[in-house]
Amino acid sequence: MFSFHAGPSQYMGKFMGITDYSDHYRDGLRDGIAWNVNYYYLTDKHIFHSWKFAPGFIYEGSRYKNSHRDGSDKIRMNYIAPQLALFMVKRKYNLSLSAGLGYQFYKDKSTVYDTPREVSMNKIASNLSAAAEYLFSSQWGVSGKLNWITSSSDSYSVRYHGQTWKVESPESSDGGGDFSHLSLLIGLNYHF
Amino acid sequence: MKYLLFICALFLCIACEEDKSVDPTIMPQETTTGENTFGCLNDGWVYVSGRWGTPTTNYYKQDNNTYKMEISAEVDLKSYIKFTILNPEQGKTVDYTEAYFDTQSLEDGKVHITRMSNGIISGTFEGTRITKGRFDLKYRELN
Repeated sequence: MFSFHAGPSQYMGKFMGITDYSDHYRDGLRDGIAWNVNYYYLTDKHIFHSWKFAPGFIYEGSRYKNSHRDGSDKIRMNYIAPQLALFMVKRKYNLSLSAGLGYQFYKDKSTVYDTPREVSMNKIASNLSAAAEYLFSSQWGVSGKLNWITSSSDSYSVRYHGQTWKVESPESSDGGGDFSHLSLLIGLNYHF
Repeated sequence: MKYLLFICALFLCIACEEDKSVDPTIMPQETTTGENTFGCLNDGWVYVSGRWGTPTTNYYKQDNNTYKMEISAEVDLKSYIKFTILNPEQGKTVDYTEAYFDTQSLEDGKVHITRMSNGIISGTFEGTRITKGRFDLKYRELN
């Protein structure tokens, strides 16, 4: 089964490496959008009743942006991970839960006083997902998916004016910490 | 003698250690509480102290009519922005002179002193190449 989803996403937890740490600015930076592509290999074998295990793969991209008088942030995250899913398969609908451990590429293309600055924070991440699908034909279905991706970091690297620095346990954000994003996505599934 | 040299070398290493928790691309807030912060734009690029040590101040009386406050901030490894404020006084806008970015001489400019009391000097400054400057530093008062 192959699927594509898109929808709103919420950044949760700690921000690091952004250009303004005021509460108001951070609140505005939490609302974003996400999109994902999934593939699951659903065999004919049931483990019991209508339940099936399915290995798969997920890619999810997300974007968050905000600006203030002296700068701006454009955070872009790309997550890839193998998945293990549990499907409840019915004739007209499917329900599924999946989890995976993968890698998240984090980039913040920001500006400070109209000069470009780039923050990178690539880390191991994990995800948990729940999805529901309604099949309107034998091959096509419409689905909704809730996906939570979480990661943690104690440092980031910042590139500015031809130089790159590693910032460890950043004092501007009171050290490192956990961050995650929760996405509510709607899309189409194709069964083949 | 060998031990003395070793201790001196160790001291120098500690003295020049980088504070990696400071992001040198983010300007400090405009505070007036003696946070020992310094930041400005030079030709539009952000320069901030803190990662390579705290800025230094030197306040002295030059003659009967002139007091000087020298400020020096290391804004990159072995790279400094320095200037001298003439007759600093709380609430006043005064001149700064003898400004340098490393070995480059910079034009004179103006400093607005927002606080100068209890061993704390805070202000904002602006020149030709230097813009959006701010500092909040501790200094030793003259007796």
